Amino acid sequence: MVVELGPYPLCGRCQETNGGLVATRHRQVHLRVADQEACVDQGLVDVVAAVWTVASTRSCCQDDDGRAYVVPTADTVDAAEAALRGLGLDVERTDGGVLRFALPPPPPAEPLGHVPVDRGDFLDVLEAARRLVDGAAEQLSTHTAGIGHPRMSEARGQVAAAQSWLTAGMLRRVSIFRMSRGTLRPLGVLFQLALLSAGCWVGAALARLVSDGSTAWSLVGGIAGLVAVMWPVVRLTNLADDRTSRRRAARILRAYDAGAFVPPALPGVLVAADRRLDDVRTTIDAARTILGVVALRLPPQAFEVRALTEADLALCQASDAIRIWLEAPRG
Amino acid sequence: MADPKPYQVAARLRAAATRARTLTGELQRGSWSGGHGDDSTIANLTRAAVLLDDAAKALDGDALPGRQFVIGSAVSTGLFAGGIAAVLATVPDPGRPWVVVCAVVAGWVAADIFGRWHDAARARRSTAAPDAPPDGSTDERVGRIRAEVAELLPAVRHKDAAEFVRVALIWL
Repeated sequence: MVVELGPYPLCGRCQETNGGLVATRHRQVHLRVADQEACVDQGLVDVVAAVWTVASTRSCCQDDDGRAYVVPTADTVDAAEAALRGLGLDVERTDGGVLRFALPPPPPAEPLGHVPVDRGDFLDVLEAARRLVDGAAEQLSTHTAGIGHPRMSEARGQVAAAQSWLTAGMLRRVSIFRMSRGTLRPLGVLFQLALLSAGCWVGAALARLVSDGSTAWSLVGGIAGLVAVMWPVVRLTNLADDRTSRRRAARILRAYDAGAFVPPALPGVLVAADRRLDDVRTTIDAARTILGVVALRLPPQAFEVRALTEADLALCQASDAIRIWLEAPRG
Repeated sequence: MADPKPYQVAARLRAAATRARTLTGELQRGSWSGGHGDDSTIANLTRAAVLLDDAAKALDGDALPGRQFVIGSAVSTGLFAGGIAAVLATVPDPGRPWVVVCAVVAGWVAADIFGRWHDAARARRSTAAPDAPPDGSTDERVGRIRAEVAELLPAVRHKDAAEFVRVALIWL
């Protein structure tokens, strides 16, 4: 027998295993935590994820006459109640072992903090964007734990890619080894030449010694020494570049008043998944606005523009992936 | 007419991916300048471009380096070797280690100077305004890419590549 309680379908797998129930009153999100997985109401995604770490449940609903409920298995009802109280909820336990509670009203939407794109310095502004993206990444990873939907995986992956590109752009901006387009600065040239010459000299000297002063073998030895050290020298240059650039960026940013820009606080676990992810999208879009303004101020050939472009594309994809997930009939 | 070879299909898939990326870049830049930037179109074109490249790779392996890159590498290597030969030819006892080092450094410097000039020229070309303005609206251009990819689909015999192309068509 097919049971339809509302317009929102369960996922294909849950439709086969839920005893005929195929649709419910609230949008469903397929959640997987530890050994448990099932479709749950989107308003209870994080609550159920928290409960599943200590208990098992048989049923739940985000709005039953204005209150939510969770039905744990008989042997785990105490643990489930403790977990819900740990989230700050006022839980009522009925005789049948049903845990009923009221979800707090969603906090009012707050406008994003002023984005300081006019303050001038590339590093300061990019740091503000990076902190927004870091916040979005943290929220995304916290609030989509257990959601294995391909679009959610895409969103998480793309936000991580954007973080990498933003970091790469910042490091290149302060690099003392490489110029913006990637060619070596004088210090980088000296660094590489010194090491390559040393390798070449050792090779040539050894070959001359072994070959009893042969010019041809000295030359072969020199080239062999050069080739032998080439790859390690490039790796060493990249490593030294990365280390010095990170230190330099940190020193510059310490001088910048980090308290002047505070990323907006995003809602906690008791707010429905759709509302939280809407806020993550808003944050991502704010970061993209900053990236666009900064990218237009730089010469188009600069590596930083490429880094900002790639970060912006990744964020665009992440935001779009969240939108698709939110608009899908089931999560 | 004979079916196109896998490498020919792969080349056309790569060309379609490049057109999708070019359009993505234009839309992205337009949105930065306050123009109308459709985020869904940008995201979908990016996804499609990645899938088309994946399909081409499944059909024909990694793309060969471009002609400009090959010519640049050949000239750079030639200058490196020429720099070494020039120094060794002018020194009486070229077998001494420091002479070898000087020769190698001279070759390296010659190749590096050419490399910088070549990179700068490539950057100028890549950021120069296109010779002809884009032909048609965004929808029309996406439609043309979609039509070309759809036309290629029957020629894609590789199972994974065909799947990549089918999903790319969905995003387009």
